Amino acid sequence: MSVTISYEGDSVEIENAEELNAALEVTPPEADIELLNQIGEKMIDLVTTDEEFLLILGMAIDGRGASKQPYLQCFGSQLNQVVTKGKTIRDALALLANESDQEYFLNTLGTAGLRKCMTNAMDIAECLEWLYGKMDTLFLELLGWDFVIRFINSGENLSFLVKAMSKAEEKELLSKMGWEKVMACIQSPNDLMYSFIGLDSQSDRELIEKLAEYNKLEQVIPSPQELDRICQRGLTKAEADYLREKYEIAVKA
Amino acid sequence: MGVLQALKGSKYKCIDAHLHVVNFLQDTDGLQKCLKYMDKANIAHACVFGLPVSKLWASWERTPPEYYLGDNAKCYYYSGVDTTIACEYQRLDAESKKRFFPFIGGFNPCDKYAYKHIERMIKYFPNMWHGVGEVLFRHDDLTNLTYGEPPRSNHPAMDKVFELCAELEMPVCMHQNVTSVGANKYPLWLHEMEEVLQKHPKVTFVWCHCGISRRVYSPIYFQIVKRLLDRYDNLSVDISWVVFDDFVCPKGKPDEDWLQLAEDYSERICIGTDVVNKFEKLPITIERYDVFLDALSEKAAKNLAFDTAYNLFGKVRA
Repeated sequence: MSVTISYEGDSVEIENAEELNAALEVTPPEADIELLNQIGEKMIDLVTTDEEFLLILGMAIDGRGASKQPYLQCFGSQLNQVVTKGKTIRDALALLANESDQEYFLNTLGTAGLRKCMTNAMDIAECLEWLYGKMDTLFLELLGWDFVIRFINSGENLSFLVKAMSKAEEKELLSKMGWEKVMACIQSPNDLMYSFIGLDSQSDRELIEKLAEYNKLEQVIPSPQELDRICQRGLTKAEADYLREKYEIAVKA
Repeated sequence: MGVLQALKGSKYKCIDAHLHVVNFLQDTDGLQKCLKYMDKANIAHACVFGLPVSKLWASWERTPPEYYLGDNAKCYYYSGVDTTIACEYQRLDAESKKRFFPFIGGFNPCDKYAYKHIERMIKYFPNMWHGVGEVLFRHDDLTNLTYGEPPRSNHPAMDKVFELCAELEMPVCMHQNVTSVGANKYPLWLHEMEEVLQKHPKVTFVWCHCGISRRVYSPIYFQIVKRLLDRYDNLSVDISWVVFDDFVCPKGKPDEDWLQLAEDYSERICIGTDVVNKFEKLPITIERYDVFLDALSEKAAKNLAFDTAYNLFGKVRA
């Protein structure tokens, strides 16, 4: 389906996102909002895929600090038809400089729209990279902790996520998961090493204590060489000393 | 007339003398789609180039690159491009085929066996090739991002290619910057180009975008182009890409010197889009030339828009 756009007395029919992109290129940036308003809800007829959505998001209203909401608003509740992948959310968030634009984008997708896009822990972590402060919190609230926790089944996945979170969010995640589930994620020296790399030092110490309490230290660290490797990669000196101390006790017992 | 008019293409019936139908990932949207936008743009025929290099998605890049400048990964020579073009071309009906002038270009210009690739393409896909190119010699960052020694027009490997082209009367479109991005006081690489023009007088050379790339500049640039056209009868040029916006018609206003040059050499100057697989950009890119063509005599405008390119490239050579 084609849409007619007009500018300064000139009209042209455009059939798809690529032609819209060309129209935005040839008209001055200050005309963008006017053109987008003319298209309005017919935008979904022109922009039909994730790639096309990002193409126009990058091109339209590209002034420094300018809000891109006029483009997002064209889709309304149909935004989830062109935002169907985690990568699309990540790339879109990297283009939305305004907090209010990010808020509109996340709220419009809503819990169902966001959840549909997330297929693994990396998807969630990569989105968190481009969100700060309140929007970080909003994203996690919309996804829901129970949904996020579903993806944490190894030390590596745990590490991806907590590295992209604030300390408070990390604490909340661990509390919602419960130590039993955290323990279940740690089955190998690498799981443990990645967990230590991702977690902050306070959580590292708690994790060491819990591993000792659950008698898992000697299971996941099969040799002194692996102990050395784990200590070198993800722990401060104080935490490394603490782990060695607990490990020696566990092995002797 | 408003700016949106550009989406309807040129008012002149044109030949696009410089069109890449694959991108740097070697993907193509296909010649059928290309035809649709050629029609919108009022482009009757197009010289069809591939791209001789493919951008690598490197192990260290989380996100795939979309352009040769997309990241630090290298490019490598990709001969499969000519087969892609041949297959696309062969799927067209007879009338549509006449709209395209396909070129062979998927070889490493520093390989003394490069001519063999051209021979092979002609052997396996005969009676469809109109020329050789766009051969990428001295470029900008692309040269630095391509594996191997820097390609140059006077590389010994090219002698056999040029000899073959002379024998088959195939025009050669070459990208050879006049100088490097970091040396804008002296045209560092011009001598390489002149050596070839002198050494291979029977070859018809087309100097793509007159030896200019992004950030390439020489204070005597216009004089260089004029002198080369004066001196070498076997040289033609296209004024596509950045040379048009930066020199020929800066800020949409035709430059007087270039207008005179176009009048004097209209039989050796042609226009092109240098679009890289984004066919929807054909109308707005070819329409840019209207303001320049409007300022020329009727004959010169027709030559630049159509006749020169038709005379250079219109015939199947092999």
